[in-house]
Amino acid sequence: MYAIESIGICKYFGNLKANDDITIQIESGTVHAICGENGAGKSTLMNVLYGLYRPTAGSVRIKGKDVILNSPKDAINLGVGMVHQHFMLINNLTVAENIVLGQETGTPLYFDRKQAIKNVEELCEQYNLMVDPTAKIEDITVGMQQRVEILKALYRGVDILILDEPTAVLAPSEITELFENIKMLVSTGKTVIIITHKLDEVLEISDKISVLRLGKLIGTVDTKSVTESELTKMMIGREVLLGGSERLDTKKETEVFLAKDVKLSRDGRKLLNGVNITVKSGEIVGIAGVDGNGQSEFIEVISGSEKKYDGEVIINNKNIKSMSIREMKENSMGFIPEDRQQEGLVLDFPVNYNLVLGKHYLPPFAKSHFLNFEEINKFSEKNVKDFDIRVPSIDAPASTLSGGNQQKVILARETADDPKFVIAAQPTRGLDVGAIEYVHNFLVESRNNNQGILLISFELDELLSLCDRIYVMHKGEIAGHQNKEDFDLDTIGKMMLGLKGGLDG
Amino acid sequence: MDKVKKLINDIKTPLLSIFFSFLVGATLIIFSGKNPIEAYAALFRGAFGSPAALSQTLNKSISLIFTGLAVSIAYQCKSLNIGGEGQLVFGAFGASLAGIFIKGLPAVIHIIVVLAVGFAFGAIWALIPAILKIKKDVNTVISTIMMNYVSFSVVSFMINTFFKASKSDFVTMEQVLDTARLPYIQFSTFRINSGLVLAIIAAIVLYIFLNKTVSGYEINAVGLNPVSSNISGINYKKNVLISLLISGGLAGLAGATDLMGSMGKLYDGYNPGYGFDGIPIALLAKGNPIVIIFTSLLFSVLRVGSITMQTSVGVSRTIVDAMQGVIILFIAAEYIIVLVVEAIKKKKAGDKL
Repeated sequence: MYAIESIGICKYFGNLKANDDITIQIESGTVHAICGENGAGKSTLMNVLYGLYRPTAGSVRIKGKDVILNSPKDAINLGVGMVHQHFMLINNLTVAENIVLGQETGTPLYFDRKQAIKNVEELCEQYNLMVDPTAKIEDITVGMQQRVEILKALYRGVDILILDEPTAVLAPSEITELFENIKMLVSTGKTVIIITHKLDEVLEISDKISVLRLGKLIGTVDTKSVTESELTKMMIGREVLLGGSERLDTKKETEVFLAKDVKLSRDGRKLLNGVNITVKSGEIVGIAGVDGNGQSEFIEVISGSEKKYDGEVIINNKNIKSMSIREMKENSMGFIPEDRQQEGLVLDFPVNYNLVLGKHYLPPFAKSHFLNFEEINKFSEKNVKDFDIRVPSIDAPASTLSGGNQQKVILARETADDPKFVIAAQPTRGLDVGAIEYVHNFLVESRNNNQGILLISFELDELLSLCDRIYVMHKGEIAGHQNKEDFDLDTIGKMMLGLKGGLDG
Repeated sequence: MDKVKKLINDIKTPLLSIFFSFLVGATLIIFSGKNPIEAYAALFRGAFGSPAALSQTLNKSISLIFTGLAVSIAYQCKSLNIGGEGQLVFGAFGASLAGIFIKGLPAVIHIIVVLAVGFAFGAIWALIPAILKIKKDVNTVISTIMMNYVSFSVVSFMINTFFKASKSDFVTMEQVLDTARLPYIQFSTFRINSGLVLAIIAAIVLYIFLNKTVSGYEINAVGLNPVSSNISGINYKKNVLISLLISGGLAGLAGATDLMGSMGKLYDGYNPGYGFDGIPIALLAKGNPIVIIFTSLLFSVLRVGSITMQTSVGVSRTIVDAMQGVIILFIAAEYIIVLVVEAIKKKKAGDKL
């Protein structure tokens, strides 16, 4: 018995075939993953199943019956619910109010809050999804908000739940919890469709996997009978090698970065508690750790936006304490920030403006205070070509680029003058496999080129494959340190959780 | 091609809002029992009908261009300067001082000095909100609007006490020296103040400054994303300060040119409202300095023409205020209009394709 079927769905936007003859049959009571790179057509397909788009051709079948979905309302009535990547919750209302929104308890003139809270409590009980019905949305964590979204769908009686990139916003522990909840929902007979491009998650949670590429269905496979590399090949159309290209021997002689006993407190809370790290030229040094253990604050300190720290930070033999960010950049430093859209780019600026951001005042881009557009465009054209940045034109706003291409703009800019030291904070977060491969290769090439790189990442696999040395950060301290020869997942994992057992080296 | 498309896109909503403002104006005129076509004919006759009318319209636009530019540059850095009026009054006061007390200079130099003092006084008046914003993140909407009333009172106090003209029945300052007056360009009854040339030059200079220079780039970057600008080494505070000081200075120039061109002496209670008009003028032009020249003209047409409309057709000139209100409403609602249009487009794409 199929819960929902997409029969030959086509969806064209002008000349773009977002979905091209896609037939996927989803069995009820299973977790079905839809995989593909950004732009493969996953979200379009889900929007068709959820009634947001009408298909150009083909049909949707729910529980064996052909249906026409004019709006999400129709879909919900037929038992299909969707949790979007960006939550549709009202921040200053309570959990219970959000869940019953649109189907309020009480009479048209009187909203029965008590009944609403009671209903929500029962619902939580029934599915073992615990939330505090009286808490305001703005006061609860992102993971909790997602749970509210799921409950909202369940409250409307759906039994097919579509989750659009549900893990993108979650911390690792929250992901584990989400997966447990998904398993529990399936055990009660619900069907879950999960859209993602993270393969390890797909393999962990799903029963079946459908892979889309460039709007076409490449195939549907049983999760048990497939490996990660096979899936990658289906998604990208070729083998992908993560972990960067060939590592050359480098002379690790100059010290490009030194943090000595760095301490930082805010509002009486100790965020950094004596951090010591060195980076030499020609090596990639990683900082591992669970999110929220001081990494973000450490990045703020060493990138120059937080000056109220104790201790010393030396970059390329200069103490940065009294240097402006501009002076730091002039001192041969590149910085790839954590949040590419908010920190790395001016999204409303065109690509060429973004490519010179921070260097716009230097020759050849500026001459006696006037911008030299000829040089800026020449530089932009060259980098767009070298880095294979997919843009409609260099005048197009950066906001129109995909995440991977936005990241390439930042990489191109921050490494244009071969800085001796580069801070790379979460450089692959939210990117698809193809783009991650590019970034990895790029980092290793920079290392081979004798640049020193400090890589901060939550992806342990990434750190293990790229780094020459890894420091582990826990509660604002360095909990341990390992060299490439001794890398051991288990030990690093323990250090990340603050357990003893790491060898200081 | 793309540029033409972009331009059309840029001026679509402003033109729509102007169109609707005339429509609403017409409705109001009908309700007051008059013929809207006649009334508008009178309005345009009053603004363009004769060389004298045309010169009046053009002269009125001088100060409006300056205040429009003032709002524009602050807005590029995402601070809304509602204090144009106070800066204008203070600029006029400074210009008046320089025009009265600096003596013995040839006209050209004296004019430049007086303009510079007017600019400086306007900039000083914007300095306090700028510092508050930089140091304490105080919203400029609030700080600048409050500084208006301080400016009115301080200048009034000065005129009433230290700088009151002795042989005058009115509370006013002395007439500025002839060397500080902006000359008129005159062909029979067509009489334009040379301040118009200054205003147009200011618009062109500001356009170049914002679009072609390093400072303009930085001001825009800070306005669009202060966080990433800061991370890329662009000093947020410096650029907020520069943009607000130039903004205040331009508003000061509006007051200075008004004084040097038309009034000649500063009366107690001078606040012509140009500073406030600058806000819709700049927003309607989407901050583009060149377009501001034209939107200023539109407002000046409405202001000047409405007098003829009132005297010859009997339609109250306050209709023009209502029309301005509609324009502002449309600018404010633009975001909603864009959203609605996008939604319709999406729906269509969903249905057809």
